[in-house]
Amino acid sequence: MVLEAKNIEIKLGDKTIIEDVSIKVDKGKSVGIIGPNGCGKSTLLKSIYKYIKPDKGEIFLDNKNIIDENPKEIFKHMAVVGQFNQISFNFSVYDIVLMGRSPHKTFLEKDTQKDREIVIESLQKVGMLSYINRDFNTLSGGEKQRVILARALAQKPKILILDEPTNHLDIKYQIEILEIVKSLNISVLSVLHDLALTYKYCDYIYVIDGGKVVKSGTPDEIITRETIKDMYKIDSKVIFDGEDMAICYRK
Amino acid sequence: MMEMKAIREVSLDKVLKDEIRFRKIVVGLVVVLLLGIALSLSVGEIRISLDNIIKILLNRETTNLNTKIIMNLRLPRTIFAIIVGAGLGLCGIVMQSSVQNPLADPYILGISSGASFGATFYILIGVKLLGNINKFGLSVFAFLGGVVAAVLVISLSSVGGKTSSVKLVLAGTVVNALCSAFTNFLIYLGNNAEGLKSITFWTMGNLSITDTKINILPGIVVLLSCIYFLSQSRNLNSMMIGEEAATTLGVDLNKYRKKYIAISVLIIGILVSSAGIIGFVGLVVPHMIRGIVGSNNKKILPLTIIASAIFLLYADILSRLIIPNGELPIGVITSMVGAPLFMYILVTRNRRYGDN
Repeated sequence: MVLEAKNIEIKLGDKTIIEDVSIKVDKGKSVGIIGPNGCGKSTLLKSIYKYIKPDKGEIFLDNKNIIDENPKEIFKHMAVVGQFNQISFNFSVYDIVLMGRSPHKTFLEKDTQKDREIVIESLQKVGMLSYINRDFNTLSGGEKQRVILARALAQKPKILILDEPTNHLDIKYQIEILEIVKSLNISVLSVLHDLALTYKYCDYIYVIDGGKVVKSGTPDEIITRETIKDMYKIDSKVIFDGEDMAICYRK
Repeated sequence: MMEMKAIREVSLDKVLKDEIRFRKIVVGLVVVLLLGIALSLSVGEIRISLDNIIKILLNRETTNLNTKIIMNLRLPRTIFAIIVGAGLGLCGIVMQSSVQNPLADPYILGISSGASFGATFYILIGVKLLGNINKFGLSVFAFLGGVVAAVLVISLSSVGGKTSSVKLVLAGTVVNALCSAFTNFLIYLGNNAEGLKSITFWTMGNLSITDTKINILPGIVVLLSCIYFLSQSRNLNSMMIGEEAATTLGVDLNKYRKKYIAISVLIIGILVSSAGIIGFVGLVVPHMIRGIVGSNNKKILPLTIIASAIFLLYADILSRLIIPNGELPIGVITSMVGAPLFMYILVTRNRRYGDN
């Protein structure tokens, strides 16, 4: 699916967090957003997944206007993996992943064999199938994150929004999650805190600073010493190894 | 590939076994409920055998004393206990899901203290001003007090945009304190020993009704609400995993939360106004059920509705048995049984309800 946000402005109180930002995710492309802490990237994502209503601008998912459309209609196609995984109730892993089916269901519709199979398939993809009957709250941070990804997969999305989904994970699972996401071949819009991973997994990158898009381009154009210096006021050296890249930070 | 398939089969099996277990629990609870109904009809100052009860229910003779006891006293009371129990349990679950707090109580919205204030106002002042309007005067004032308090809590908690569960709980606490203060103020100024006695009696809950008609309104409201919320289990589940996560599953939390809370307020207002204050049912029963089957509303809604009816029915039977030739107020029993149960839950809940 194509996601397009046009001229978004978001104010919290009288402070402008996002000012005239336009971004686009083409079909099947992986687009990354980077920027220093507090630049407004999470707020922008929140407006895309309908948690915050922007003060100005329009957001389209194909031809649907996200801002006005019935939420169920949107989340049949869009799934979000974020940071909000604290749950005060004791749900089983199965229950959590099954919730991913709810946008596809009317109130009285029962869970079918197909829903169960989708849940099992999603859990298998993230390597958590043997945890199916476990209490979600007894899992580690990384395990929880993989279950939440499984829930997103159970939505059968055509576009995935990732808001620092790999924060609690060790590198093995970070790569694993991003590989799973890549293998889906759907549109992805992500905020990853790791620049090397952003370089590796994104086709196009937007740099946001002070609530505005200051730069955008391919990973090779964006992940450079200059961008890092502009964003973080830190000097660095970018080293390439085949298709991968590493950054050495200098004081 | 074969191995993968086998793992899937095993997992599917686990899920299906869980559903079979759920059905077994439902059947078990229904049996306990039926036993409770039989017991409730049978025990009291005059013991009536099951044989006689069945005969009376089938023939509806109105001649002998036993028939009168069953048809005019015990049957309406039994039905009332089931309705009130089911309603309190249902509201407990709905409130806990709506404010995402497993410790939320149906009374958290200030309904009980508002209703107490309404009842106190009626008993101490209303009767003098308006005369004894009719036998429902107390109920009407208690209902109004409860609803006004709840509306106050909801509007307080939505000041400045989104209603958060923290704001809701805080607003509930404040309104509770305010209503209690005004209630005490009235009691102090009223200096009316007789009135004070009826207020105290009212706040301890009462299931003894002598008119079957009293069951009609709460019965219809609770039945319809049960049916409605059973169809909302997916929304309630999504709410329980947090506001932002619920949004990303397509649930407009603010809209549904208002609707669900409004319905709960209505139900509790009606129950409190006809049965007084009966605490802990909506808190303890959902907790026990969650400990057994987890928090999926698809399971805990039906189980809690039945189990709460059972809880109140047996509490009522107990209240009639403890004191020879008399009865203990129902609210005293539910709190005496409920509070220790709740303590036990708090002590043993450890990781199962991680609220880290």
